This record gives sequence, C-alpha cells and structure tokens, in this order.
Amino acid sequence: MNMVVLLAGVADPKWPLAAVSTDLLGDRARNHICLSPFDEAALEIALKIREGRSGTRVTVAMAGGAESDPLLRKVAAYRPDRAVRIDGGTLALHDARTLAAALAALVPQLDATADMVLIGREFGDCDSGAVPPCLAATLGWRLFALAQHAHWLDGRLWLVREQGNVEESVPVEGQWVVSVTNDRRNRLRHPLMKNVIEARRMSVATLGPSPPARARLALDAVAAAPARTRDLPCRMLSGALATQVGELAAFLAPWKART
Amino acid sequence: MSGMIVALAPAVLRDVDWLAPVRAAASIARGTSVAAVIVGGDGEMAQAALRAGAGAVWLVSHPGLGDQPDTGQLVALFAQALTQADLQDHRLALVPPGALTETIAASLAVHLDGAALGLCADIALSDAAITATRPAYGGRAVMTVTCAGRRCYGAMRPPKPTHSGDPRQGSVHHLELTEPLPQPLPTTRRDSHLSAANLEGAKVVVSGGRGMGGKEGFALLAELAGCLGGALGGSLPAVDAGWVPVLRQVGQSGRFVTPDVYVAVGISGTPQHLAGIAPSTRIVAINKDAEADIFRFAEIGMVAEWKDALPALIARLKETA
Repeated sequence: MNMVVLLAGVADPKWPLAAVSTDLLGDRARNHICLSPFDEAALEIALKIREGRSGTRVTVAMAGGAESDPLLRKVAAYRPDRAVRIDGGTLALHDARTLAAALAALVPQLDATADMVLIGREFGDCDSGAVPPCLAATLGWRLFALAQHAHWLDGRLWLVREQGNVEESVPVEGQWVVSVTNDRRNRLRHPLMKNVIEARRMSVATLGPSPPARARLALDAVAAAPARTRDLPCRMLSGALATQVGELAAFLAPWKART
Repeated sequence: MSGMIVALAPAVLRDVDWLAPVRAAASIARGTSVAAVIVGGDGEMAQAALRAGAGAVWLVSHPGLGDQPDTGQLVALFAQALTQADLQDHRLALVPPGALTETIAASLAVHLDGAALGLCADIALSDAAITATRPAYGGRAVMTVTCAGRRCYGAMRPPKPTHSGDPRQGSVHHLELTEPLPQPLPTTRRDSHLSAANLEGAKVVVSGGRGMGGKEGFALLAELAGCLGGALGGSLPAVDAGWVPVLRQVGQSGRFVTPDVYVAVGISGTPQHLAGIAPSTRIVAINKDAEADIFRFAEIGMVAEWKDALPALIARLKETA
C-alpha cells in the first residue's frame, strides 16, 4: 500500500483574514496559514495505515507557494517517507475540476506506485468538496468520500464512515481516492520533538510548476462575507438562575408544543 | 447560450432532500426551463417536482439499480440520463446540497466535460455565462466565479418553501436506462446506534461546543433535544473531541440546518459555525463567557455554566409537559 497525501492548508480561523482577493496564492502568504482539520485527518489516517503494515509508503505533497514551506516542515516532523511542495503558481485553486486535473497529472511523479490518494474532504480555502471527486474521476480511481477511519483486519485494509444511523465499511482493493473528514479517531498526533527539530532543517523539494491549464471557471471576485447581524440586541436574561431558566423554558415551550 | 436547468433528484437515497435541487433550480430559472430527473421516484414525486417548479419530469429506472445504490452508480445513471436527446441541451445541473450528493455533481463535471461549481449560495444565468457565488475561507469570504460556454454541475441551497406550491402543468416521462452500471462498492453496513432525530428538517436543534468540556454534557443536550422534539448537533471542536458524531456537525464544513430555534450551548459563535445555521433561525445561547460572540447573533442569551443551566431547564420543561 503506497499512499499520496495531498494537503493544501487554510487561512488560520483563529486569525482575522488579513487579505482576500482574486490573488488566492498571494493571499496565502498574506494570511496565517495552518493545516485544516481535514488535512490533519488525512495525514493521521495515512500514518495509521502505515503503522499497520510494514512496507507501506507515505508521500505528502502540499500545494502552494513558499509560504507553505514552514507548514510542510511541520508535516515532515511526522516522518512521511517523502514530503514535497507542489508549486501552486499555475494551479487554478478556485476551479475544482482544473485543479484536480493538475493534481492528477502529478500523482505519478509523487509516487508512480501509489494505490491510494488521501485528501481532506475540502481542499484549501475555496470551501469546495468538489476536488476529491473530480480527482477520482480524472484518475479513473474509485472514490470513498468522507472517510472517518481506516483499520487493518485480517491483512485487509477497511475504510469506515457513518451515514445517517449506519456505519459503512469498505475493503480496499485497487486504486482509491479517499476524501477524509474529521473524527475523534483521526485527530492528528503530536510529533516527537527530535523530529520537529530535524524537520526545521529540512530543505523543501518542489514539484512543478505544472503547465498552466485553461481554467473552466474565471475567478471574478473574492470579498469579505457580509457580517451576520441582528437588528435587535440579544435579550440577556438576568436575575436568579431559576428565574432565567423559567424565562428560557417559556420561550422554548411553544416549539415543544409544535413538535 | 441556450439550454435548460436540470435538477438531479436521487430520491432513492435515504435522508436526502431530493426535492431541493428542483426548488433551487426554479428559484434561479427566470424563464429558463427546468427539468427534473428523479431516480427512485414515482408519480406522486413527479407531481411534487412539478409543484416545486419543474416544467418536465423524467422518472428514471434501471434494471440493475438496487435499493441502496452508491454515488458511483448514481453518477453513471445521471450521466446516461443527461446524454439523452431530451436532456442533453442542459447548461446547468444541480444536485441536493450535502457532502455526499455534491460528489455526484463534481464527478459529472468530469464525465460530461463541464465545470464543477461546488456548493453555491446563488447562481445567475445570462445569455453568455453562468455566474456563481459561493463561500470561501470557511464562510468568512464570498467568491464569485463565472463559466462561459460550458455546462456546469453543482449544488445550491433552495430558498425555504413558503407553501406547498401551486398545481402546475407539466409533462411526466418514464426513462428506462439500460447501459451497465459500475459495480457498487462492496459495503458492509451496520447500525451505528445513533438513532436520534435527524438535523435535516428539525424544528429545534440543540447544539454543544468546546465549552461543554466533555461527553457528559452532550447527554444532557440530547435529553434537552428530546424534550423539545429536536435534534442534537455539535460544533467542529466538539466533533474533533469525539463528544458528538461527525454526522451531527453543524457549520461551514458540516451540516447546514434550518430550524426555527437553535440552542447553542458552550459555543463561541465563530463565523464557520454560524455559516451552518440559516439566517432566519432564532438563536438561543447559553455560555459562561458573557463576551462570547454568539451573544451578538442570539435572540436570547443566558450567561451560565451548562452544568447549572441544563438540568434546571430540562426539569422545567418536563414540569410544563
């Protein structure tokens, strides 16, 4: 089992957005970036799969510019077999299909023997879940979407997700694109400090840039979202707890009656 | 550029609002014809699609379609339908919003050489192009993209229905497709024992966040949701911590919920979380931090520890039962 983990990073939600514009790559450098929960989950699942079977290889690739290098070093501290940056200069980050085609073309260069690509269910800051299915369809590989967990059982790898009240498990055979969502079982571990220090000294290898592709979508504008506001201020309850609870219960009671 | 909007309605899937793409398509059509392609539907569903705004309905069947088709099979089926003579003139196809159903649209974009729009907040059609606005940066920004001269595939949340729709004239066709479907994923299914009410369609959602501090509080939230006949939800940090299953995650990267009332307990109120709550929803917030952002968006706020507030609130609601 040889895996390629595709990471993008996102503008850190703990920081205000410093810049939003149609220069998506440039804005990555102007904002604080971090791994998204889905990036982290994809990486953790890959590490767990590798731990379960010797001879399994993990190649991690992060799409972006030089601003991604510190993040890639952070990822390198988890000791993937290979960590490279995909030069984002020609990637159409806003256009899932075109982006997926570029990533698909790079998979053989990342690992010619790869039989699984792990990728967060959303890739980057465009909030689109379209990249993983486009990637699978472009590669002609099977798609397992919204994976929450992977485990080995009797020598076979199983992918697991929950849909409604049903847990679905699928055995892995052949080549797969696996989009990963967050789950308690795939929270990213902490790296060993010695590996962190070693990774800081790592020189970052870069793949690409890919030949520029003709995007299917033109990016017209990116603007800060209008602030969600309420016309009226919040009615803050006051007084003894019992009084507040009584008011809240009275407010909620009609919905109870209706439902 | 001429061409119709096609609503792709996988009625065969459980827990999917199959009518949503019809309503979404009708809301943006402005004179463009709307067709609905329903997989696993019947005459009653066809009439519902007509009432929701479709001008024509295709009820699709396939001899190889089982009770639980996977998305790969649905992609193949919709691709077959969209290449039929009556439907190939489409310029936009919409699927129901949802993490799994949206993969159908993206896959179709590749198979039918179109553009993948993803989940859009709005879509506008002009003679020359399709323009879509959609969230970016976890809902903190809005992105506008345009596609000229290509078919587009995506999803859009429909406006909330105000009534059941007027009776409409329209044609209903039966389409039996026979091209072989891909083998379904060899899926083993088991009950995950998460039998609480669904978030979709719930009138009340009771949700917890990082401030709950552990699983214990979620048992109380579930009890409160039960008292109100509502559904249990959670924020991303609560899901990450394993206090609530991922299928109950509300927010930009989770479910979009449209209840009448959203009870947010121990939730700070980040834009990413609020992006999963309909603007028309009335928010009730319980948080020990009086400065929490959630109070800026709530109608009623209570500054309290959940350990004090929830048992008392549940008891009071049970008293008044």
